[in-house]
Amino acid sequence: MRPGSLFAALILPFALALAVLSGSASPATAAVEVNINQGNVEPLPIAIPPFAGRDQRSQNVGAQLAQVISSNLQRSGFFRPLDPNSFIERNLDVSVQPKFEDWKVINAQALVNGSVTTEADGRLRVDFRIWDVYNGQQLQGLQFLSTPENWRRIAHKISDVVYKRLTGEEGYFDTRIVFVAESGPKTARVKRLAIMDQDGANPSYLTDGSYMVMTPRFSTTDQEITYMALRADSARVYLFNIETARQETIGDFPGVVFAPRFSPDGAKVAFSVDRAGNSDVYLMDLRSRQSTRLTNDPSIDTSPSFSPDGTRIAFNSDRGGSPQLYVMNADGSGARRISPPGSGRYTTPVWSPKGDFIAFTKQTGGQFHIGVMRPDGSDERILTTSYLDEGPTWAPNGRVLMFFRETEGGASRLWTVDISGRNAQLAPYPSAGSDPAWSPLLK
Amino acid sequence: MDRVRSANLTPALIASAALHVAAVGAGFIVWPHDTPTVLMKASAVPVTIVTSAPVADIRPAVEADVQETAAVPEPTPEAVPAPPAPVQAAPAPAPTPKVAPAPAPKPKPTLDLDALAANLPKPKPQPRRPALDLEALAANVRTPPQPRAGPTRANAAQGPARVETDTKARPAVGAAQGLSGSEIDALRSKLIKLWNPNCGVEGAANVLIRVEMRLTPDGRVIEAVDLDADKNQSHPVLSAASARALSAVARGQPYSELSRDTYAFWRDIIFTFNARDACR
Amino acid sequence: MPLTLRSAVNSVVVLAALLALGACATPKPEGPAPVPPPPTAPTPPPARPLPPAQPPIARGPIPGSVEDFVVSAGDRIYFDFDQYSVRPDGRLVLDLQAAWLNRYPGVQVRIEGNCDERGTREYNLALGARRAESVRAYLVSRGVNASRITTISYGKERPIDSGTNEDAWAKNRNGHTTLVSGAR
Repeated sequence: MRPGSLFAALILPFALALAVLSGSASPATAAVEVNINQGNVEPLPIAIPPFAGRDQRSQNVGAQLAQVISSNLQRSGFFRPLDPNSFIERNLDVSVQPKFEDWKVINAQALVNGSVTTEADGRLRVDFRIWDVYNGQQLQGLQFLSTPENWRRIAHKISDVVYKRLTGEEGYFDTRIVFVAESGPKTARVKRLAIMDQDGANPSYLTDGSYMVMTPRFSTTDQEITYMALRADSARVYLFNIETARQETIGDFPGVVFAPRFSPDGAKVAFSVDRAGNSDVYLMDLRSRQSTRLTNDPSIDTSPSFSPDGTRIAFNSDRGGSPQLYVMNADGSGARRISPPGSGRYTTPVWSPKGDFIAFTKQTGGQFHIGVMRPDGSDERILTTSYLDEGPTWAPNGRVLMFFRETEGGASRLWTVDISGRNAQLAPYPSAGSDPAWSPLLK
Repeated sequence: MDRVRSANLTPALIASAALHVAAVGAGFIVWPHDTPTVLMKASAVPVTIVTSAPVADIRPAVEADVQETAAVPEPTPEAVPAPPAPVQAAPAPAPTPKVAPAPAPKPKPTLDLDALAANLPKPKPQPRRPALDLEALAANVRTPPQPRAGPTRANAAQGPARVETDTKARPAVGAAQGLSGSEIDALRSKLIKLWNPNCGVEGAANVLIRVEMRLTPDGRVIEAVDLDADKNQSHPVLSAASARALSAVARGQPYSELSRDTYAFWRDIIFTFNARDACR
Repeated sequence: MPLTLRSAVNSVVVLAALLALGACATPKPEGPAPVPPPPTAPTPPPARPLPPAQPPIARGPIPGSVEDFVVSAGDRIYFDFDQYSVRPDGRLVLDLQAAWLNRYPGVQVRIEGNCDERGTREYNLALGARRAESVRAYLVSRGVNASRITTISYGKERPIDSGTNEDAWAKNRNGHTTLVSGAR
């Protein structure tokens, strides 16, 4: 069921009933009703002063926390962190209510303040509160404990809490991106597997570039990824545990093996195998190592992507004459085209972790687009357009996508866009990259 | 302040765990043949997982201070908007001393308002009915209701003019009761500017938040409540939307576009924030 | 905008010239004029005459060598956008390849399918595999033993022209025949 209809089903009747009740029962308290049907939609002005600390070290961490949180929220497009130079009240104490009037002056609608303390055992304790400035209320208050070198993750977790409290959506900041770091000229590109925090921090390589890697994907349940490696004479799919660096090949298929993606429970991997020019979708059970062929069609069948409940698989096929999106049951039955007829070439379907959308790459004319549509093919929205946009991956909250964009003659860069299409921007990774894959929220 | 405290601490869910990074940097592992020859561990692998706990053990914001800050502007309602703030900015420790005088200033503001506020603590819609005392209180203020008939009619169209003669007969309908069309328009356009619905979230267009506010005769908000608070608090998107609607209402102060003469008719106003069009 | 036959052949020739690392490659004009075939294939020849500055004696590549294959047959054929059927110009090249391979039966080849960048990565891996298979099937139909041929798809990962126009894309849509072993 569409979440929107859930609202309507649950909330509206309640509101109506309430209106009737109060109307009939309290004639004495008649109130004027004013309907507000329009708003002033803009990023929420939010103030995030440096978190307080007793000693210099804590103060430094506190300042960095505020910065990381600010830039996380800013990138989301939902917030407009205010310039700290404009702040009137300084040195806030997290255990004392702020002077809201000072924050109203600069039109901060929300305020996040906090403190950093080093515990006796050396751990870092961060307390913070979210304030509704105009109502003078605390919206939330939490405390995090961790080792000092983990301060960035604390900042991301706080960002997630703030994001959720003020938007209602789950956050996605305490996550990482595995991707392909690119270097060298187009005709001799070096492609290395790399990983970084969602905000571009802590980038590091996972492979050395002696062979090409592509299409890494996170397991939804683990610190595990699957990716494809291309050498002069082989195209193989691997599993790679980023915690232990343990790696293994999936299956021993003759032919080209590619397009791997985990099932939602992490127990299987769907992928494509090409044999004699015919690509079909296969499914391997990682425990039993048994593989099943899911499609059996002379056309190209590739890019499988599970629905989050594991019952269906979206995939790409040109069985109708051009590449289009299809959905089939997880056992391979009931394949049905979902992309609309006559409107372009569709590839790389990726099911949202929320289940409500399928993201894709679309080609029309000479342009590439990232878009989303409902799993039944309705409600298509084109979010981006450029010379080459490709390979969307979902943030775990299902509201933000990362993809890669290549300009004509330029390097490939990582980008993000929200599913409204309003907020497209370069991802915070300064070099060339492609094939991003967003991790689930870290545990 | 009950509200401050109760709105406080949502329990945190994050449990702790311990993952370990092996060495930072490159662990070189040689694999037989087909496998890649060099692998490096992700140096970014989480070390110790962050644990979190509700701030239950944090002092709630000092209540005395809180009331102080709140109390200060109250006596001089019109000063609230901006000016006083900078003045207070410098003496950060100052509030504490002010705590003492706190009780003193209390009487200063219109007693009625304090009483009103005191009687209106609960955010639930139903309690409003028992607030009959408020009626009485408001009645005091309401002395000038009758004259209102004149001015209002002057501004307003036919409909309202008739209605206002018996306010009680008509429950909230959305029609202007004793309010001129231009006053309603002014209210509406003010709130349209102040309401910042988050249209980027799932189900944004289905958000409908009803906020009832009670005003002082000079247009300050005594109390504003989300009429569906119970339901809304349990849903993150609605909860966030509720906070934004309440914020818009609070930012609308003072509601000086409303004629003091017709106070009895606008003492209670219900704003219905409907995102259907706003987030289309 | 498919490549014309002539430009296809031209680019084969140009490429051949580039790839021929030895002495001055004598670009074969058009036609499928076969190169002087050596008597038998795998007679281990002496080391190749590489470094010393040679007087410009116009001499063809060593028969049976990679250079010989490239120059006398051509190692690449080209495809239309999103297509994998062998075009007539490609057939000419593949006929030469088949003849050459039949002449040197000890040579093993790998067919590599390539695509332009006007498609997504995974789809292009599949498309490249189709192209490689088309080439393989054609060579087999011309008498090359299937066991001598392997195929791989490089998708759009190994373009030979970094341009962003139809000319570049047309070059990048190809099937490339690499001599893996057995060549001189």
